[in-house]
Amino acid sequence: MWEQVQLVLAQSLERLEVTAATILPGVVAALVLLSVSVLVAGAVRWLLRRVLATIGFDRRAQAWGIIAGGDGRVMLAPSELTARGAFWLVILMGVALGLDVFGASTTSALGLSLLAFLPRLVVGALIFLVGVAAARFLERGVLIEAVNMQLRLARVIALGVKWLVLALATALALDHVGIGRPLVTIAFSLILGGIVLALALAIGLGSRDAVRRAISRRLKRPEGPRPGQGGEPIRHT
Amino acid sequence: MVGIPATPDRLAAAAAAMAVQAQLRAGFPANAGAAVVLSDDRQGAVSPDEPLHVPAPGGAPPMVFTGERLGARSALPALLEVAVASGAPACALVEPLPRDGAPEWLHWLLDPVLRGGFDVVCPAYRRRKLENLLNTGLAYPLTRALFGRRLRQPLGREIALSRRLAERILEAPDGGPEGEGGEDLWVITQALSRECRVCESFLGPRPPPRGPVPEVPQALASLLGTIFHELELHAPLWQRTRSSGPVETFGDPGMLEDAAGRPDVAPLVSAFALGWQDLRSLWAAVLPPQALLALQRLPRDPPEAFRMGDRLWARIVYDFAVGWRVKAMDRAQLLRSMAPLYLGWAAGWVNEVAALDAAASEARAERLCEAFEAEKPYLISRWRWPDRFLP
Repeated sequence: MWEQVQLVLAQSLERLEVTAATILPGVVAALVLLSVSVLVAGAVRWLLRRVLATIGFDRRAQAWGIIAGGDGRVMLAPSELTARGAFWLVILMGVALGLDVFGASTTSALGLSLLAFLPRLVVGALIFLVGVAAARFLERGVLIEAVNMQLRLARVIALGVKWLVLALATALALDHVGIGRPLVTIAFSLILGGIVLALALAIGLGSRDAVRRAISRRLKRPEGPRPGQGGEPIRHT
Repeated sequence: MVGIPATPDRLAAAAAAMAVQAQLRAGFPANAGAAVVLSDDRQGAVSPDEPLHVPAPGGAPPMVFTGERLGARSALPALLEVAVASGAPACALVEPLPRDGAPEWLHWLLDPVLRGGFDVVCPAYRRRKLENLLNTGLAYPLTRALFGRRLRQPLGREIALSRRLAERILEAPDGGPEGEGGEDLWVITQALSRECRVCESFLGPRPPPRGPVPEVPQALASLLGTIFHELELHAPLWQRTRSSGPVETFGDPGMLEDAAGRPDVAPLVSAFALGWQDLRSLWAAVLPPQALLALQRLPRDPPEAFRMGDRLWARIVYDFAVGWRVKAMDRAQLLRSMAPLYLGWAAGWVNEVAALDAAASEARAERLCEAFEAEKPYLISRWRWPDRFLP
């Protein structure tokens, strides 16, 4: 009886050793890859912080319109955001590679699909970033011009332009990444089409008079000529 | 050598060149010189380095090709080239305007260079006190505070300069005038930065310009773009200049009679209020909190009570110069966003000087310039350490 127990225990230990000998190299390799990726990610973050600080990335980002500046809103500096994004990207790549070398069929497939997904994710993020910059730049330009044209709804118009461009950029980015492709396209088309249709109906049908009255009352200045133009004996040039 | 840009009206430029040629013959019989049309169209035009043929009386004026750059921006460099190549002792860039009211204008423009030994003649005009407010509120006080010379109208859109200065400018090009319509100011800053002899000539009333008058934001952006560009180029020079002095003046510096009736400042105050409402967040990227607080406290009602203090206005202009330098936002947007602030200043200015006579309004302009000079250390400080917001 005792001999049989010893035999079963020995066989179990032997199987455990074999299993450990099979899995352990993969685990060690995955841990090594993860450690290396943490080190590389830290180095990339440090390097990016230094380089972006040297070239004045935060100031340039403000000038390009990627971030709003000086209005009291607190947010992470663009250079810090970029450095942290790069850090986690490298970590993610390390995890994906670690899963791949782990060897198991499921984790290997997960790692490979994660690796294949990363480039699209990066390009999608870039598309979104460019969209944000374009949206802020256009918002600012439209706002300034609308104020200079004395439009009372300048901020509303500028916000409309901003969100339209942001929605377009989001749709493009999501489409590129491959998330909810038909849904995003349909949603964007519906929103844009709805806005255009509503405006067309409002102006073309029942609200024509009301829109005309609203435009004359709210958009146009009711009194006097625009500054700098005829009507007053003040000449700026 | 007198050059007249063919842009925007080529026919008017040709007619003006013929009139100027006749005046040159009458005014300078010993050395009449030539009036040329500066055209960006190669057809019928000669290059600046080709010899010019002065036409017989009544003949078509010669046309000089200004190069590939379009518009008035290319006119001045081409004029300098043709004047130096032809050995002219003086050259002038003038606009094709009807000059019936001031027959001696060409004499006052060229004589200080030809006989007085000056390098630059800055033309000035007899105006009403509420005309040319961009000049009164920005160009005059800024150039005076920065370069130390009291040129009353540095935005004359016309200029005369000596051959010596033309050669020096051509030898050391720095990219030419910045923006459309900044040629005169560019030449003046070139002369002031080289410590040349500068004078001012009053040419009589300014004829109304042909074509559309630029809108305030466009004119403001063009003017400030040129000045701020020169600020960046000549920072060591203007930071050394601590006070201003008068320049020699020729001609009659009188002012024209004002039109009847008090001007309506409500649209100007309304433009400022709308700007404060919608552009405040953009201004916050450039203006320190103290300036924003001061702007918030300006009384807007009634419009006739609106005033913007000289010190506040000077600091706002200097803050925008620093914002332009550090590229706090897109430069074109930055300059155009300043239009409501300028209109607010203009409202306060009109409220103050509308009831004054010519001498009193000039004295008021003098006080404004003194404020710009007094605040210059603030500009120097912020220019050197732009990240600091000084109280």
